[in-house]
Amino acid sequence: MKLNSVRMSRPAAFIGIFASVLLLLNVLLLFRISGLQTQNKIWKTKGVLNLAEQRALVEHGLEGEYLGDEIELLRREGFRLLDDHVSKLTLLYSFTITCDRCLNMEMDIYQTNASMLDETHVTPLMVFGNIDQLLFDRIVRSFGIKEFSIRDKEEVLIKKFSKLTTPIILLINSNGRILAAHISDYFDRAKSQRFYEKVFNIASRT
Amino acid sequence: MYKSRGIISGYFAAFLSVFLIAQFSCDRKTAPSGAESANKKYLSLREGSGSKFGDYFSAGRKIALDLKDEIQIGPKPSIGALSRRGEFIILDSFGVRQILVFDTNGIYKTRIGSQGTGEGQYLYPDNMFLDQKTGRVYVSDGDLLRILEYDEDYRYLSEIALPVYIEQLLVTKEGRFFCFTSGSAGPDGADRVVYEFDRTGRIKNSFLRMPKTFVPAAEAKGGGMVHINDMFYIITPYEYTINRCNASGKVTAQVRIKTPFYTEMKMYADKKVETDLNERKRYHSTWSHIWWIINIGKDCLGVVYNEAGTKRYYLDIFTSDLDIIAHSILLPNLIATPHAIHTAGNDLYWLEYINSDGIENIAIAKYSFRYLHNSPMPVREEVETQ
Repeated sequence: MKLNSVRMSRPAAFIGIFASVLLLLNVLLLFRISGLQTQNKIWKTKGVLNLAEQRALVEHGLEGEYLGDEIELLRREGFRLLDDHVSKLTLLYSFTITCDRCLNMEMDIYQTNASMLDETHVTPLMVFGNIDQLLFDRIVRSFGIKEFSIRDKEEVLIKKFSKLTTPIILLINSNGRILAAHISDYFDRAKSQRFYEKVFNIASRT
Repeated sequence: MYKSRGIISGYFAAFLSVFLIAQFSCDRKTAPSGAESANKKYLSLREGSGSKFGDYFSAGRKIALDLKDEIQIGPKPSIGALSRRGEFIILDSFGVRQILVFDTNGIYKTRIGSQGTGEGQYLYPDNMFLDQKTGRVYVSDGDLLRILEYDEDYRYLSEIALPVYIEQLLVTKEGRFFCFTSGSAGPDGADRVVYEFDRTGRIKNSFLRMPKTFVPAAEAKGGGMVHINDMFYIITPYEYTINRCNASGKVTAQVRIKTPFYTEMKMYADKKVETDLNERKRYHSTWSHIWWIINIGKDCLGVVYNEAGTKRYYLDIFTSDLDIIAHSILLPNLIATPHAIHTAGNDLYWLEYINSDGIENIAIAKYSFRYLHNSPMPVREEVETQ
């Protein structure tokens, strides 16, 4: 075989290099397009509500809702604490033990406001779901909330609010109607305090 | 003929260059930083070759905490650190919120800081680090997002604002601050596991990405990092892969392990997992969570995980070269809280509930590690180097 039989001709080599440069440019263009697509996705999500806005929407949706059936179910579980509920406003805490930080924070804020709740005749009732008896006993003892805490074995409130894994606090009237709702956010302590101010406002008007 | 050959070779060269560029950019996007050159290993440990706890650890004495009447311990206490004087520092972040110091016999000595928002106070002290060189204690407050620094006599010195909620704090002997987080997003939305920050709380570096299999519905506490011979050994709760990194975050070795009692995380089919608490609980019970990574002995490390859907915890032990020493060691009863197991040298400590005269009390259980470096590897293993 002759050596020059495997050598490229000059125009062919030129076309080859030109084609490779062209292809490289195409690829760069593709990268640019994919970058633009990502940016486009970000712009699209601008229309989606952030977590705080979603929480506010759920809270607003809960207000006015009837919780009498759940209260009746809890009463049937044998919680005598609910007997006092008929004549008073109740601040119902639903704790699913999924976030220690959230529970700790809400307890801290509760302790700050406990005396004010007492003055405005709002009865606290703390319902714990997703928890075994031993841990429940230890938690209520260490927070000093034994007198008004119950362990919801049937998970009545979890079934009702299964989509919400963070603590929920609800102000309910004697008819079982939710007057105000709060979903805990451990990045925003002030939000919890604002909720208590709302509770005191409602309580002082009724 | 020559012309077509030229075009073909040109196109071939172009494809080759495109392929190489694509490979390069792909690696940069998916692999952990620096992992391209890491020594990767896959260990598959056979069923039935598990080790017994007593073969590797000898039981020491149990030290019951002598709690005075006025001291109440919360539901999830853990050992925060052992001071240079041998005192036990108990972190009680949940419920009572306190940091208690007990002497070597379990007698109460003092408290570090107090509950509150003022100087030297905390609301959720869920993690701490004791610098063995200076004796200084660093407590991270998960509620107020700050680190409190105390001297060896537990006097408050200063505070550092935290850039992110952290699950584990580590201060190197050079005084560099590193933190571990297994959450879904860091301070800048980055999916990194380890952050280095300075004394002003500014992030200096972040490294090691979350596993590709991670989804927010799988979020769990666990995993962590240990620092042995100037190298970090890091693991997330979501996959049994130990990464060895240097202080700048470059992965120098990586080992993926399969053991008889570890079930890998699977992706869920039912979208309800994302919104329904009970479905999420069911999903989490289908895979094993990595709970802790611990430093045992001079330069060994251990990984603790649970058997899927149970409260049975197993320990695997490795050398610092990530070779297996023992695996599937069923741990005796312990209080499973973050950082429940504490190690100091050859000793392993954890808290246990005990019953004395019908009254529930807490005791510190101590076990000593007795692995000798020149002893043969006691388990069979299948090793595949990637």
